[in-house]
Amino acid sequence: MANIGYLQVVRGCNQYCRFCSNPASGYMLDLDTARRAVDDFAERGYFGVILTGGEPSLSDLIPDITRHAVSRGLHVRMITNGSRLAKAGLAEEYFEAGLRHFHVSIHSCDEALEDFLTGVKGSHTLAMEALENLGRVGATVNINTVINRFNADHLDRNVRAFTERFPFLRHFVWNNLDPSMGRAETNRDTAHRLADFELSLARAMRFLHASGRTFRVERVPLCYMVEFAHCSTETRKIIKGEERMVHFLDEKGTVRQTDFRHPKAPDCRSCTLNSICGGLFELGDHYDLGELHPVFIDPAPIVLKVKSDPDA
Amino acid sequence: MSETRGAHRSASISLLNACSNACVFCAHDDAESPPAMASLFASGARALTLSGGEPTLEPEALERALIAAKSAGFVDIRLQTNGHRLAALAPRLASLGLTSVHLSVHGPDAASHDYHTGRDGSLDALWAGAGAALRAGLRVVATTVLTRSSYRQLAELPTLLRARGIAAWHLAVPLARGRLQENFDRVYPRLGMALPFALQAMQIARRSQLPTYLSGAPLCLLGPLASRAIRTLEPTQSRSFHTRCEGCKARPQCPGVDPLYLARFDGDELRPRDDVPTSADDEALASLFTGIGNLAPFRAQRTHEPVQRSRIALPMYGRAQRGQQEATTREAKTGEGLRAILPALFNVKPEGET
Repeated sequence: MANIGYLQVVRGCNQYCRFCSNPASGYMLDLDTARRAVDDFAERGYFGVILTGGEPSLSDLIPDITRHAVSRGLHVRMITNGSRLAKAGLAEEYFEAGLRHFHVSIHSCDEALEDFLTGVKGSHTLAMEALENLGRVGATVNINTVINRFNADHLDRNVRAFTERFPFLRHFVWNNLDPSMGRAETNRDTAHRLADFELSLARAMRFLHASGRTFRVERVPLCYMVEFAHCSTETRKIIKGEERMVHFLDEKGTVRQTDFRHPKAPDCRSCTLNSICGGLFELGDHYDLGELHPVFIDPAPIVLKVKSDPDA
Repeated sequence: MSETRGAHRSASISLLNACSNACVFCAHDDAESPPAMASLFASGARALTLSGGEPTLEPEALERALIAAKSAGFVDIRLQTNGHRLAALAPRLASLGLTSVHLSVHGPDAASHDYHTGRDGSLDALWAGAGAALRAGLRVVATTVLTRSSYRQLAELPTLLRARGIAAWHLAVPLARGRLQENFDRVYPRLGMALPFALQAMQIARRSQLPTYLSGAPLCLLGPLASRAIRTLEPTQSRSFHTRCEGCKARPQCPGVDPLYLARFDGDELRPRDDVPTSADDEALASLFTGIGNLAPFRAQRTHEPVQRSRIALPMYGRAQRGQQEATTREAKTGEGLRAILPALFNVKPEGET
């Protein structure tokens, strides 16, 4: 089992995403607390730690936290919007400290749309520069995309555009918008329906698969990603019995998540994938259970794929 | 209702409206009293389909209709049925002049088929009925409707249908009417997802020598197989086209897409074809099948706006609103504040825990 801990380093940000699930809380990690969290993950036998936020690169502690985590045998990653990594030198500094794996959050290949979604003009340009810099130092770079109403129809164009310009991108992560948290709760215009992304997600997944790349999809019920069910984050965790721990920098505090099954529709009982499907995340009153539908395909090859090939 | 099709001009009559299934995609509407057999025959029809609801629910009325059809002169008399009572009725119906049976198979296994019909045991009953019909010397043909829950199993069907003695197969893109209009989000498939599976199944059917025919699919999504699907069974006026379809050379033969589907997804899969698919010899094949009879009326319905429209005027949305719990100050809470929210890291027992 490869459990990964999430450590929110700072809850401020230099962008203002319309659907941010972890907006400003005022809290900021200090080195003592960060070390304690890292030690705790190490003692639990976790594989790694993901530095997140807010925008973690706004903290000056990243190299110190990284060095400590590496010394405790943890793999270190960062989820970032990339804006500060556009600046010369930072990617090198992080890489030097042992932070060599980045999830850069970019939601659209359309520059105007990306800047609209992040609330800051120039975000798209900075993210592209960050990708240049990270590629140059030889870091592993994934793209994180929040599926929302504005990009739901062109997830496939996104991956084509990003991989064409940055062939070193090998892995993508899609997070289906969580409308019950943060700013998505107040900016209802960001919410979509599942059928809105179904086709473009399928095309994007097919493209990445055909080009030998990998991806994970979070909070998408399996009936909307049947052909790549083994790439569902929830499904993988259910099959492998994994857990996930997040140290939130807000009143939620430490959350250890061991159950990845969520609300479903009555018809899901007929579905042959029911037992390995996360269903709909606790998505407030936004997503419609009436969109869920049973499928009748054999779950055994999916389970086998997840168990036998960790990198599928 | 009557239509020109194949060797025999064919007509259909709905005998009753009740049904023992509750199919998730049923677009059938209650029929008015049917026209007299004699007048249908006089209009030139030589084939007649008896449909419902489920005609076998009233066997006596069905027998009377068969006798009337035969004496009116119809040479090809078909029965559209869910098959539940066919095992008992087939020999008698055959002796009264029935020539073929038209079944609907929604999946290769009971879980899938029975989900679609809303009735446990319906697939077993259907195969029992099909067997009885074949033994009584009737021709048996089958239709499968493409739904979100059925299209991924289509490839399994040709071999199974052949093994069961089915003479021809009809794949149908559904119409968003009646129950299907109500269940649209749960049932109606995304065509760009479903049709590749249908095409694959058609190729397998061809190799299995099962005559197969696809109805209701926009021709731009069928590639080289378009020529095997250019006949449509349903009245074309229920179909819509996107402005993008204007330059399409295949448009005169194309069934278009369902108006509700177009309103919901804005036809983002549709592309003009620059060729004219030629008609294959599926006329005779298509003539074996009858449509669903009376279509439920299209009810005006608000549907969810296609996402493409959300980007038309981004500045109109304005700046993002602050989240409900979002902090308003830039003051950083750290040190002691962190002990309060992450007590476990400081060996402090959280409140309420002993």
